[in-house]
Amino acid sequence: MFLKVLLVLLLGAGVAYYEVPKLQQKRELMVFSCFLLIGLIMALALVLNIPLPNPTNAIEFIFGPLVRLLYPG
Amino acid sequence: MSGQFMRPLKKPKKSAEIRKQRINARLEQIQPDTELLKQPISPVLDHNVELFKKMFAETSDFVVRQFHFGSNREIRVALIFIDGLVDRTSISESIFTPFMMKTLENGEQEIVPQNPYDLILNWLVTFYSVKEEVEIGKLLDLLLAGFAILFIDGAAKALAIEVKGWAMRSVEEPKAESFVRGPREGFTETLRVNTALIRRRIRTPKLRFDMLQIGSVTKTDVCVAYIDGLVNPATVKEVKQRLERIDTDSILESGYLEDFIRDNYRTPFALLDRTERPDKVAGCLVEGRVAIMVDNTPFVLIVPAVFSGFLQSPEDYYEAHDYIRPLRWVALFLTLTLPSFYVALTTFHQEMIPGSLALSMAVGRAGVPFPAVVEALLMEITFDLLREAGTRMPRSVGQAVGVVGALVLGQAAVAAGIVSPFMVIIVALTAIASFLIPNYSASIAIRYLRYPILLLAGSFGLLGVFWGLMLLLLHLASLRSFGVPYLYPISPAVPGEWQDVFYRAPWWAMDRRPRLFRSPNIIRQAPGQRPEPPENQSQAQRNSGAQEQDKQQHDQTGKGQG
Amino acid sequence: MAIEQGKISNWQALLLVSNSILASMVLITPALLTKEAGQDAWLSVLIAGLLGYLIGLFVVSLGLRFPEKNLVEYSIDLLGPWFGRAVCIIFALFFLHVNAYLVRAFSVLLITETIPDTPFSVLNILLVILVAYGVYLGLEVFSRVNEIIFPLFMLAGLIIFALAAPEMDFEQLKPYLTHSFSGILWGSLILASFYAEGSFLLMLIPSLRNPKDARRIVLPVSLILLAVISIDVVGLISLFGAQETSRMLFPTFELAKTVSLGAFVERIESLVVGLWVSSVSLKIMAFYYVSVLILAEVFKLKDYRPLVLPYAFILVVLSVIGWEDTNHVRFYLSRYYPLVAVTVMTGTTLFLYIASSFRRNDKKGGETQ
Repeated sequence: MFLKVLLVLLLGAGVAYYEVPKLQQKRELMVFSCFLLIGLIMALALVLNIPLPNPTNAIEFIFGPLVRLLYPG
Repeated sequence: MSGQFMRPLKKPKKSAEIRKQRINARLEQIQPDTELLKQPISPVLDHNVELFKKMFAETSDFVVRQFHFGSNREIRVALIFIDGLVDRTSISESIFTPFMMKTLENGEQEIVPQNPYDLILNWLVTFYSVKEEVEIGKLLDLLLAGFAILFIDGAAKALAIEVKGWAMRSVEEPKAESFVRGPREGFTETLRVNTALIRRRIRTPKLRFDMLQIGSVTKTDVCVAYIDGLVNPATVKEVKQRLERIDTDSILESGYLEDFIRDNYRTPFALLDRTERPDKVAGCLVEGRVAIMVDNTPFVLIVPAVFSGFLQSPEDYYEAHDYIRPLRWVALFLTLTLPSFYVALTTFHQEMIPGSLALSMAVGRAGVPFPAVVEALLMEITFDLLREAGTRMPRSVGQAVGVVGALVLGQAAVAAGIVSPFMVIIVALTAIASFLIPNYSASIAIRYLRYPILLLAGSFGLLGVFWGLMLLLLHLASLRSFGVPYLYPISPAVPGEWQDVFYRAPWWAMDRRPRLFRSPNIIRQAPGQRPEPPENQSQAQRNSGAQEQDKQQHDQTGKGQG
Repeated sequence: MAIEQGKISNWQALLLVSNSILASMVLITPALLTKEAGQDAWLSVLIAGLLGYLIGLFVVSLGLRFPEKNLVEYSIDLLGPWFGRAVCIIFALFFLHVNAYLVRAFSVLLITETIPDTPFSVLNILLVILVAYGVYLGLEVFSRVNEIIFPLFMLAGLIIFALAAPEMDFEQLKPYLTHSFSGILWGSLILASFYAEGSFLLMLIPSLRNPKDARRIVLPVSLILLAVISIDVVGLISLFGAQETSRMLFPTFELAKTVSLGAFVERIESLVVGLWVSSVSLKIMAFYYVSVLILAEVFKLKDYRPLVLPYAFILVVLSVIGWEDTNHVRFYLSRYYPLVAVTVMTGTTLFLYIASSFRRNDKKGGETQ
């Protein structure tokens, strides 16, 4: 578990180290950091077995009535 | 606004000016004063001689010969040259003999001291190539290139006589690329000889050899060769720009240049082709490519290069064996993946091996203590060791290495049960396949890429192999050589040019130059030159028997005589 | 304004779109189709082929109204900066989700068929690394690779089907038309959802070398897809029967297992998996690229590359948490995905198309007045 967390963090740091020097605008840096942060948080949650909201469930919830209406049988 | 708020994340370039100054300061230690070099020589002979003596200090191969001549020995001259770079017979025949013998005769020509310079130039130096120079720096360059410099007292000009001549290898058969059929000549270490070898093959004034000098210490002559009108001018311009950007102290081989001018340094693949065969260079020039020739090495660089070019050998174009090309593609694939496939199949997908074969393989592997990956790695590394040893050793020792490799490491390893006999077969096959790749640089790249794929095969089976191949393919597709996609014409696919990639079409079918070099003159030859037997003759053969034909011929000859 | 992304020829675009639809379609849909439509699945295929052609025409017509601009730019033009961006983000997120199910399907296939002992997150990561590398290298590079891989993929498929042909029994296709029409329609909806994935072309039209001729790739693509998927479905039904096919997870793959040539070529399914890895990774690359490109445009970045690696993290996690197990993937694909894909992709296209028509009429009206 600890090893996996370390691995995720190291990977994230590696990505940041690789990309950040290439970013010259503030906007680019912001967007990049946001995305990386989302990715890292998700990865950490996965590694630590913290339940994440599942987009598939959300889609199934939204489209549920439509499917029930249209699906034959 | 945002620029002020955030400091620029990229560091400013680290004082390039200061670095440049430092480099220049270092250069001055090895080079005479740059100011001095731009000055003209003095009319006083002794000044000039002293100057050069000081520059060369006590160097043993710097020779100064001062003498007087004329009817009354009143004209003083000095000849300086670098011993070993000049031809001694030329010097004595075209300089010393006329000066000392002719002036003694003193027959019709009176040696008058009023204008000794013209006299010497027009009457005495009996050598065909003479230059007049004034600047000290230029004289120095000529001196170091093998010219003899003649200073004349009272003249503010010096004569540089091109009596170059040094010990050099004669034109021999290239060692690294040997053929069954084709010219046996290879390039030598002398640039001028090499340009002549190309010029002899391409007799057009459009063939250009543009010279550059690279290397602050070595001052190596570099020659950009191309055929004007066939080459894309943009390519030549790009080549020259890249070469002119180079700022280094020494260029000892064309490999130095290769590193400086290649498009992408993070790749094991050669992005420039190189050869020591003049016929190959000539062929490439006619295709509209550019050759970069470097003095002191027989290896000539050719740009742009494409991946498929590394599977082509000039011999393909001389001998009509069309099946060699497909064979090389197979060999390429085997070199890259054969051990990996073996490992993947034996460790992960035994079901894919036919039953009886699987059985004998299992028997062969029965006593082997390692997993197949380790076994394969062991054998492959051993083989690479052997090959390296064999290549670098003198030939006699190289043979011994081969024997040791085959007997001791092959047979004994199997007998000892360290490796299975199948693995030996696989490794041997891989090795032989790798010899089929004609280009040494390309075969090195492929050989070393075997290892990562082998490791992938050992950990993920066939999935790993395909994963690795896919990564490799992506990498190859991303490469460019002087703007040309490296995988051309496979992708971007130009099926019309596959006739020179997957097989070699007859010459009459290849009536266009490869499109990728963007030659302004794409048509190579007239189309429709496919040879056909003359119509009349074939009809005659079909319609009439041999006897009748004989008779007809008789009749015809009779008529002709009559 | 637009991010410089390299140019691809229309031929490359044709192959890329074909591959991006086919790679998963040939493997996943036959089982779902035969479940809904039984041995009448071929009818679903034909209906879906027509639908797909219409969708394609639609997509290209929309793209050609703004040949110089990409999806994000003209969405903003048409719908305003906020609503336009929102639509594009939905587009991008949809492709993210598509990628997630593709990655998941990939590892499901590998684990059930070739390397059962590997944890599937490892396979997901492996695939995403490959894909991210390709996307990082850019559109030109992976479309060039696709130019090599897709014909090979097709050739291999053809050979496998030809080798399996002697075993096929076309009587299995009978009796004709016994299934309910609604089932057949739903089957064609499943296929149409894969066709709808082709809408990613919207983002690529400005990078075509000849955007004017984009319309001419629709018919070849539709025909290739129709031919391949009909051979696939008909071949599978006549080999295994509709019942059997619908129970399998990856029937096309099962077909490869039955192939043997002499005594030497047997069980070549691992080779098939290998080729499929290349093909599906190219498919994911295309969607990954489009999705990252849209995000970069939406957030006004100069280059899409900074987003590639963070996106990889998100993709891996989504592919792991998105579905509980293989059955869930299958259930999602057969029930929800058709509606989701058709609604999001075709709905968006339609919406933008109508909006652009209005705008055009407005303009025309304005000009005449």
